[in-house]
Amino acid sequence: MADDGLVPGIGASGPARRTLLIASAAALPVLLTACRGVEALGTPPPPPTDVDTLRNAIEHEAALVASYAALTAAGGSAAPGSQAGAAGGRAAGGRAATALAVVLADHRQHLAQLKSRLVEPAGHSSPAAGAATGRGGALETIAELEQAEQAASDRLIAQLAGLPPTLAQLFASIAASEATHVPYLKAARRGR
Amino acid sequence: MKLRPRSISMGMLDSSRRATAGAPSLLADRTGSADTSPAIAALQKALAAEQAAIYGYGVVGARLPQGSAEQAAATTDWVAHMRASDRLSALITARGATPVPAAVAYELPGPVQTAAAAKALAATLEDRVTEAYLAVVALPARSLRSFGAEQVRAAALRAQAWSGSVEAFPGL
Repeated sequence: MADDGLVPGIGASGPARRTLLIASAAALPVLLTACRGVEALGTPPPPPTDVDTLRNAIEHEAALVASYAALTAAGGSAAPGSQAGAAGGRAAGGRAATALAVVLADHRQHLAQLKSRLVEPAGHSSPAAGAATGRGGALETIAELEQAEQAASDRLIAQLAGLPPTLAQLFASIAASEATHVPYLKAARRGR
Repeated sequence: MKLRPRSISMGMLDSSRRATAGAPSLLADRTGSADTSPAIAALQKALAAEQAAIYGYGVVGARLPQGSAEQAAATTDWVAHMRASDRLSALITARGATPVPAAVAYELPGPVQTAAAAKALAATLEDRVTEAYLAVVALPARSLRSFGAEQVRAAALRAQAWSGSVEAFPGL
């Protein structure tokens, strides 16, 4: 051991000092990275396709829920002749209003199940937030809802490829449910 | 040894003839396939459900008013199940397996003496078919998954037509 009291390599000699400086410079980005957290690692990779597909399904489901909720709420109080009144409040209204409430309950269950499958990182907003207005606005007649149901069913079936098996089953089941809403609503609209 | 009839005319079907001892339940999973491939297992399960539905629709048709729109609907649905059964058999054969044979008779889930009971049976049959096809949807092959989903939807639509009600998660 050296008798100058200095630890070898960390003494005042030239090479040892340079070694320390280089080591410090090399360590700096890592330390900064540690201080700034995960964000410093660069742009996060895009989410897997199935996450995007699930988000998309949630948005569409939320839009349907909003449309049904609006039409159901308007059904009892909308002025006769208004679109909402025509849809939910006229003669066939009792039956139609019941059908709307039943289908709305189905969609709320769909939305809850779909959302339960999505694990969002902290800080991300739910895709369902504001989705009702982001998909073309609320639909105002039962006929429009029937078309939306069929489109939703077709869209879910078209998105099955690449999904995990259990999510694919959920999509297929919801697609089937939404397809059945079409004849169900039609029958209610015609008072049958 | 007691022999079961190979072919039964629709008019002969009667719920009091609740299948001879040993007949499989109309709602049972009777695939029993030795092939352990997930695709074959799922297709066999769907085929077994289709075969049970084909038998069941014979009972349904016999209990609906002759010449009624409902009986015509039962015939249409029976044909749809026959076609789906043929398609499944072809898919299974193409994969080198042997399609599970249909049973000659099935035990009904309950007495079917009225038109209302017949319609309820039809809806129940469709529910079982829906459930079976969801196993096909779980397969990774894109074509099978799509086929399964279309059949899930078709069966759910038929169930809705018979029951008049809707479900949030058909088959699950």
